[in-house]
Amino acid sequence: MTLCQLFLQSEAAYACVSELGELGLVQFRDLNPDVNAFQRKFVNEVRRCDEMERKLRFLEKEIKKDGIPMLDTGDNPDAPVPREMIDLEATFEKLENEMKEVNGNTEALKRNYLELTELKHILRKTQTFFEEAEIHHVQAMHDPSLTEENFGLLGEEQSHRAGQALRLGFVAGVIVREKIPAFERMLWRVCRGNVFLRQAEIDTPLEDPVTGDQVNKSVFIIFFQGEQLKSRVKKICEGFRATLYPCPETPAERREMAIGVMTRIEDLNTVLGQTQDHRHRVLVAAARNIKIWFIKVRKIKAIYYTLNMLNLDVTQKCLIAECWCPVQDLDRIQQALRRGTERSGSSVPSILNRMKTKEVPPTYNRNNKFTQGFQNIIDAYGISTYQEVNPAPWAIISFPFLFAVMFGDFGHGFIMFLVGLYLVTREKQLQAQKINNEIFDMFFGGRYIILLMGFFSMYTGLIYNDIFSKSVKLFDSSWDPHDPQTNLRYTAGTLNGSVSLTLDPNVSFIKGGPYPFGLDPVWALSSNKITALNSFKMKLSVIFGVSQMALGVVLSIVNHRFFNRKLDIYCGFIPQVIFLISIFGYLVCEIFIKWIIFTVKDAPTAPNLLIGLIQMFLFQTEEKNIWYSGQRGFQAFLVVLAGICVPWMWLIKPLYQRHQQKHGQYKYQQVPTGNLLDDSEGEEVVYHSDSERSHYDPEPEEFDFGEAFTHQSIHTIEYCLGCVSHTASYLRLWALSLAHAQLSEVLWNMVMRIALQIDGYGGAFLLAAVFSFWACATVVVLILMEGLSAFLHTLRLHWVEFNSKFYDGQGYKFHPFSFDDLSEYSIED
Amino acid sequence: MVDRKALPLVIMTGFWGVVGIILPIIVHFLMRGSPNKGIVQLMLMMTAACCYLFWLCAFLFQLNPLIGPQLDSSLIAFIQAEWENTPVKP
Repeated sequence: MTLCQLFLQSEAAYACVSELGELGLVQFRDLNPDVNAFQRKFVNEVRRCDEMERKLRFLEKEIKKDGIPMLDTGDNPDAPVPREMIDLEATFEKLENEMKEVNGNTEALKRNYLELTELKHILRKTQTFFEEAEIHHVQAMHDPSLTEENFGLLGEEQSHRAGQALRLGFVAGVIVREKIPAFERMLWRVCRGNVFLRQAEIDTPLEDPVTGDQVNKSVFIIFFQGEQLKSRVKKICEGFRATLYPCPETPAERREMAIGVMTRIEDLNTVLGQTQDHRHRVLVAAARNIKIWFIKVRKIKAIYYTLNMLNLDVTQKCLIAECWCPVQDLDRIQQALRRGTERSGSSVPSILNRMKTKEVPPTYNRNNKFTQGFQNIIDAYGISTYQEVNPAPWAIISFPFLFAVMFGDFGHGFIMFLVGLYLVTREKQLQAQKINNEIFDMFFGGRYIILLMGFFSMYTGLIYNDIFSKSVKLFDSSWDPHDPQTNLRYTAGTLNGSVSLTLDPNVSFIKGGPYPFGLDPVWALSSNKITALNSFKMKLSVIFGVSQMALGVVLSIVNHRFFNRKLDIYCGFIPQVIFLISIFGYLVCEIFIKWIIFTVKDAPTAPNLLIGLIQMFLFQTEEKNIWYSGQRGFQAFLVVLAGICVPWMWLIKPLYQRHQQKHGQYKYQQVPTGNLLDDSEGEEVVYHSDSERSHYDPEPEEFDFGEAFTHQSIHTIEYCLGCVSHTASYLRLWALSLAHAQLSEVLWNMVMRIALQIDGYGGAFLLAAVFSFWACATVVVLILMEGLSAFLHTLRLHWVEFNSKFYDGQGYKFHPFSFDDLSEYSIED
Repeated sequence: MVDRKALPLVIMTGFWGVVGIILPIIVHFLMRGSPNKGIVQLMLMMTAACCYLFWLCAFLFQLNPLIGPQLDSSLIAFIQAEWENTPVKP
């Protein structure tokens, strides 16, 4: 990784940055950190891009509203030249205006349509009211004693009643159906019962022009007498947002109006149809290109953002950029610059100049789609310091394997493997779908991890001989029950009743050798399975734990040698290794030897390794834990050796550094600089005292003994205590494996076995039902929940127990300017 | 009779030895120019190491068992009837 200066001709700058964006290998530094966003050079262009994007989003919303599919060819168009930007702007402006116009027209037309429709309904319904009124009026004429409401006397008929010239006025209108009861009540109260309301529902719901909702409405007609009531009624109608329509009084006029309304409605329909067609056509044409336009606009914006970070030269002709580039790719970057200069037609070539700097460069780990997942889980803890050893390649296998030790079930592992297989083989389709669900994204991002975890779980499941909590007998079992008293098989007499017998390995271990692959199937049937397997799994955990920690310490020496930290090798690595091996390496050896040497004949005298370890530290080894001559002496030697390592790690390094400083030979060795490779070009040394990131490690003139001593003490204590506690921490491999096996067994015993014991046809149906429950519980509890739990524990083991042996993790990530991820330049919230 | 002590040991050591030692050497020549060569080799070696160690622990644990399984007598009767187990004297 090297810091480079780019000198770009002003005309060529845009094209060069565009080429670099396509390449995605360069991280620009902001040379104007104090400048306000609104004072930067290209702020106008950025604003124009924002405008364009806003217009595009408006168009997109309209397209989505109409349900037109947007064509996504997956094309990646190049960033357009500045000239093209003006064309794009004009196009978008035109489209937006057209859409706005069409929308406005549509709304007006729809309002008109609504009014006409309502009028049509009114005319139809009021016809019935008036007809009824006629009947009643005729009745009333012949029966003057009827004193009920005389609705329908519309003032055109003469009254035959003595002295009464009833002139009833009316208003007709349409109101939302839900409001009718309140409307009636209000009318009754305000007009003191002197008005009469008749209403009828409109069968078809009407479309609201603004919102597009379907609303149920009703026609009403109110009869009243006098001007005062008329004004009151009108006010109430206004308040309830009922629309009033003029309704003619004579049936003939009404019929005429109805015909007129129908014709107008038909005309309107035609016009509306045509407007919609036009809108649809415009949107379809836009939908073809809209995705490409989005990409183009975002690319332009990204380029201008980057250009804002550059500095203008004194001569005002040239832009200067500073960027981090990987040394390996300098050729490709030069080529990209050349292409950009050519494209812009500029005669002056762009220059790339390497610079020396004391700053720490960003860390760039090259990954492919497979390793990216594992790199992510390591990066979640901390990005590796520049040029230190990357733990991710080791995690590719160790992570799924430790997971599998905790998950060890062939059946569950198989299901996990299938899920991983599905996600991996369908990668391209699933990626193209651009599913936005966060949970799915997490699973999809870890698809290779899931695949490997499933694969290794199948292996460990076979070794633990656990398939959905059942064992399989691939080979003959090594155990055959023999009576220790008679040395023959048990007779029916001894087996009478339900007695629990423990098999004696002396006579029942008949094959002279263990089950060849994994655990013997007889253990799954035994009642002391847990006791026996505890010993196995605990020892297994310790063996794997010590191995992984040893690997961690070995990786630390790789780091020390790369950075030439001789002092750390002699005062860090060597005592650490000796400490680890002398105590825990010795324990692992003891485990193996005990497994190999001690047979059942020596069972009473077999040593207890754990007690032995404790007594080793206390120099009080009991007689029964001694199993080879010279053990006491050897163990004492080991403890003393480990004891020596502690002050070795603790004191020597800070004291030596102080000694060096006194004699003027102190070299500050810690910081990996930006240019460890010798390069002849680029002698400029750049000092950035106000750099945006505080990765500027100043070279200390003074060596602070106190600080170094404290630092070293912390490291020593952390390492020594860590060795002990981390070894114990690895016992979680045993704990989780036990929990998983027991959960699985309980689920089988309590659920499936009950169903399997019921005979007959009813039993068959019950079995089907119970199986579905068992399967759901297996997937949800045992695979998802336990899987997540084991994943977390494995993550912890890697982050704490493994990484603490060698990992620094103080770097920052290389974040190149690239068009791959344009979402950060969009204006979406 | 089939030797239960040496034969599985030889077979498994041989198998994981091929996966962990021989295959990386072959890969070294086959994938000369590929940038993924290192990762593939590392993966093969780590897989072989982990899987072999795991199998070895299970094998050695059962090599000289100090205690035997505790079984219910009806289960013992079943095993004696169904599992055809011919003993092999070591």
